[in-house]
Amino acid sequence: MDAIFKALADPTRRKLLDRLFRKQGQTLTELIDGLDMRRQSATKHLAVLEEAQLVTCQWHGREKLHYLNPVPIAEINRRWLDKFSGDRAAAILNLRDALQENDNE
Amino acid sequence: MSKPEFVYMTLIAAPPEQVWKGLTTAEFTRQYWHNTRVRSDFKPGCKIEFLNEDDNIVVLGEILRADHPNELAYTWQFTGDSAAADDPPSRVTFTLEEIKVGTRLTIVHDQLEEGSLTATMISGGWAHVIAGLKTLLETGEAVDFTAPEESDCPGRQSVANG
Repeated sequence: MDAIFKALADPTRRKLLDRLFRKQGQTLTELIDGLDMRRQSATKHLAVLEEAQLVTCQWHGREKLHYLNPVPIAEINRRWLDKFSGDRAAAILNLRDALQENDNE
Repeated sequence: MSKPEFVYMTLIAAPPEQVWKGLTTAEFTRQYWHNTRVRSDFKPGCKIEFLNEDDNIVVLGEILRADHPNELAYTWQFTGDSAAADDPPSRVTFTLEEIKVGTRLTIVHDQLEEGSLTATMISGGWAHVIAGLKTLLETGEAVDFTAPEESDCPGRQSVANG
């Protein structure tokens, strides 16, 4: 579990996860398109994310596609959140999202 | 578009044989898979069904591959009351690889329609199902499906006891 939190403790890596959340199955080129990030740097960050199992890869011919793997996050959810009822937590998150919507867009 | 839509991976501290059993027997699935029981002969061409507590079929599919205990693939279609029942069948593939600590389980759910209700329903659902399977196999602890309805559901209970 240390690996998950270490991986999430970096804004660049969270940004990469955000991009995969929006669109699954991206190549490295696609993933860093429009970002001020070198391939080499992105590769290192992705290796940390893979180590933490937050990103998983599939080969399609010669293309390596990256996917956000939400299973470790579901494990965190199971450990500390389930007891507080998923319904209630989801309701609060929805409320927060609704309130923050204007800020994010 | 032939790219997989969703790929999930987890490492489970149990041998592939045990993980296979977790995926293919009703006594296991009801403990972590939204309280449903799986029913199939697990042979290519056979049907596979997931039944809820009321014996209604909630997911229906056809076994495409069953290479025990390494690979299992079947089609996936929500049935019955589900608003997603009209979506065409999609495909789920489980790959079980033996590793030092147990099993690397990879799940690919593909052949989904872009933006379909099925895609929306499964996108977050699998992570919880897989995390539940991992916990069950590693600790013997089942997912408690009764808790939210009994005391913690904010909609039905007053806040007096909270």
